[in-house]
Amino acid sequence: MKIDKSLMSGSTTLLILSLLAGEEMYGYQMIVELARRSNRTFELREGTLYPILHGLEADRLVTVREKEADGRTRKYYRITRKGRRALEEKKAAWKYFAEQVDAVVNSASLA
Amino acid sequence: MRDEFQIWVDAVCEQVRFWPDRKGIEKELRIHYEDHCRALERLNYEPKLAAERSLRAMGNAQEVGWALDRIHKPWLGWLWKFSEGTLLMLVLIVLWLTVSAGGVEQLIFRTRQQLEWTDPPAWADHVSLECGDVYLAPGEVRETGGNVEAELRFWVKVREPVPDFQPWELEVADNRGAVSFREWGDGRRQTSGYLEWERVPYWGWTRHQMTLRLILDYRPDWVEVSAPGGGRDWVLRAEWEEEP
Repeated sequence: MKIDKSLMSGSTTLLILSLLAGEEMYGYQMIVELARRSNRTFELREGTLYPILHGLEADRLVTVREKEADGRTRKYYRITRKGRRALEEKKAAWKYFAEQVDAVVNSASLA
Repeated sequence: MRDEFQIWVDAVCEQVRFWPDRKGIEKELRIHYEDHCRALERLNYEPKLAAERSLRAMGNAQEVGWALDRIHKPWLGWLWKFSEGTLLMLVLIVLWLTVSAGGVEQLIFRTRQQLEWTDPPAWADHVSLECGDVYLAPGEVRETGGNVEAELRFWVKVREPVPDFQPWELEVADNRGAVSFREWGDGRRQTSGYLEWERVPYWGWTRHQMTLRLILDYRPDWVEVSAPGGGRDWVLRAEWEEEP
C-alpha cells in the first residue's frame, strides 16, 4: 500500500533510532533493513537519511565509528544512552498520537 | 557512470560551507552509492543500470547538500576546531612547563611541598658564570654513630638557560682526597666516600638549592665542589673551622 510521504516525515527519527536500538548499523544497511522490516512500506531516500544521521550525531543521540567489513571502511552509527532516552520519549509520543488519531477516526465512522 | 557520481557528490559538497567536513561526507556517500550498486548487481542488474538506479536513489544533489549544510554549520564547526586547537596548545604549554621545570616528578614535588627559597649567606663562596651564579657554604658537622656527617649548602641561580651547564653533575673532593664523587641526573653514583644528596624543593625554573651530606670517618677541613659547563672551569670551597 502506498502511503502519504508526509505521514512518514515526522517519524523518520523514531524509525532510525528504533533500528539502531537493536544493533549498530551503517547507512545503506539502515535503508535495506527499514524496507525489509516494513514490508517495503518505508523506503527511505539516501538524501533524507544522511542529514538526519548527522543531525542525530550532532545532538549526541548516536555516535559514529569507522569499522572495516568486507574490505571496506564504513561509518557505523550506534545509539547512545541519551539516544535511548529520546527513543523512549518519541515512542510514547507516537503511541499517544496514534491512539488519538484512532479515536477520532473511529468516532467518525461510528457517527 | 562513476564520473556522474563524482559530479553528483561534488554538487552536494559545494553546498556544505564548512569545507573541512566535505571529505568525510563524500567518502560516506560514495561508500553508500557503491554498496547500492553492488546490491543491484547481485540482483543481476547490468552494471550501468545498477549505477543509474543507485545514483537516482541518492536524490537531488542540491537538496541533499542544503540539508547537510544545515547540520554542518560553519560557525559550530570552526568553534569546535578552535576548541581543539586551544586544547592542543594548552597541552603543549603544560608539557613545555613540565619539561622546563625539570620533569613531572619535580613538578609534583614542587607543588606538594611548601616552597621556600633561602638566599645564600653573604660569606658563601661564590662564582659568577656567563649563565648565572653558583654559591657554596659549609653547613653543620655532626658526629653520628662513629661517623662524621658534614653538610654542604649549594645554590644555583641561572639567569639564562645554558645547555652545557650541568650543576647536577657535581664533582666533590675533600682535603684528604678520600672523597671522589660524581652525581648524574638519573641518580647513578660513583663514590669512594659516602655522600648523600638531598634535593631541597626549589622555586622557579632558574633557582635551585640543595643540601649535600657527606658522611666520612673523619672531620674534613674543607671540601671543593665543581661541575662541568657554565662557560669556564670553576671550583667552590667550603671550609670548616678547626675544632677547638
